[in-house]
Amino acid sequence: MTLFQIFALLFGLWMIYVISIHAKKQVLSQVEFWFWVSLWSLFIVIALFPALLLGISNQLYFSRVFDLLVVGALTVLSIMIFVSYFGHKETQLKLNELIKETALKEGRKQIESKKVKDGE
Amino acid sequence: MVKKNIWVVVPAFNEGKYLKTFLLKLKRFNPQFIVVDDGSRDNTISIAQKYAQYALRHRVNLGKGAALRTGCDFAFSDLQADAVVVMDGDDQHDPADLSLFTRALEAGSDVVFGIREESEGMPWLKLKLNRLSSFITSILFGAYILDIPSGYKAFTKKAYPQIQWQATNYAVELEITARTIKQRLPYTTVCIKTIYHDMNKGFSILNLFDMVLYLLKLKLAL
Repeated sequence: MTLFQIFALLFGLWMIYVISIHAKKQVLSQVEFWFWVSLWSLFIVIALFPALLLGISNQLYFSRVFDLLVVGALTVLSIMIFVSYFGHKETQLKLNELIKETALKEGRKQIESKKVKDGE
Repeated sequence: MVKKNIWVVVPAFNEGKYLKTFLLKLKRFNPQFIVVDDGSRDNTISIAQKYAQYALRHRVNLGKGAALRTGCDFAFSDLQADAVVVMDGDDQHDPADLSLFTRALEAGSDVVFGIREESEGMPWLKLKLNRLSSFITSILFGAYILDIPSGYKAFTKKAYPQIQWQATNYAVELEITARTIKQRLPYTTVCIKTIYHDMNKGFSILNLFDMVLYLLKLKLAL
């Protein structure tokens, strides 16, 4: 086993531990938990036995397994960025709306109390 | 000329130092004003509650554009304003100039841009960046409007849905200008006086990249 493989194994195990902590905090659903655990398990398997991908990389005309891994990692990364960008944007809009509505409600209360005062 | 129900909207973020002075001055020229405290950590809200007719509060700081939007929504939908004048809460703008805006609105303009006089001691770099933003806007949108970063503006209820901005930060000034030009709204500019208290505020060289990027984004979106 090379130094890189040991590092990859430890990193993969660490990520599974992080996922289990988030699952305990009930941040992740069952489906999300198993998706992330499978993904990192796959990462460990590929790091330890890169030859498993030899067939796929040959079929896709990659000269090395490493090239296939880089392309695969970049694809996953792009999808993650894309999904988290829209998730972040949506949360930001919801938060803005909530803060604005709270402020407007406060203003409407002030209008009502002014009306009551003027009526007296 | 038709007399309009005009409200002044003042967004304020940590403006405890100058807000009281500014609001007392503003009260003499226009008693109808709303202060939107944008999640300040100082005493801005208590000053606003004491001196403003209406004091709205963002629990979290969202940015100038968001504060303006809250204030304008409140003025147009809850106070039935015909037009709104927006001014910064840092005492940079002279309320004595309000009459210029109201006159322009009553004369039929839908949007009025306040333009600061050059001789008022604006730092050289800020002046150049300011001119650059006007130049880029003119190339992208086809009209040259001076002093785009100025926060002293006015617009009517009719214009508001057409210029309604998405920007939550200082880019709101660029967006209002770009949308006004794009929607071909009748606009006018008025010369205003400016009092500089804090030279570090406003446009800086760091904002240049953001500004260009935002204008390009607007060009594609509008």
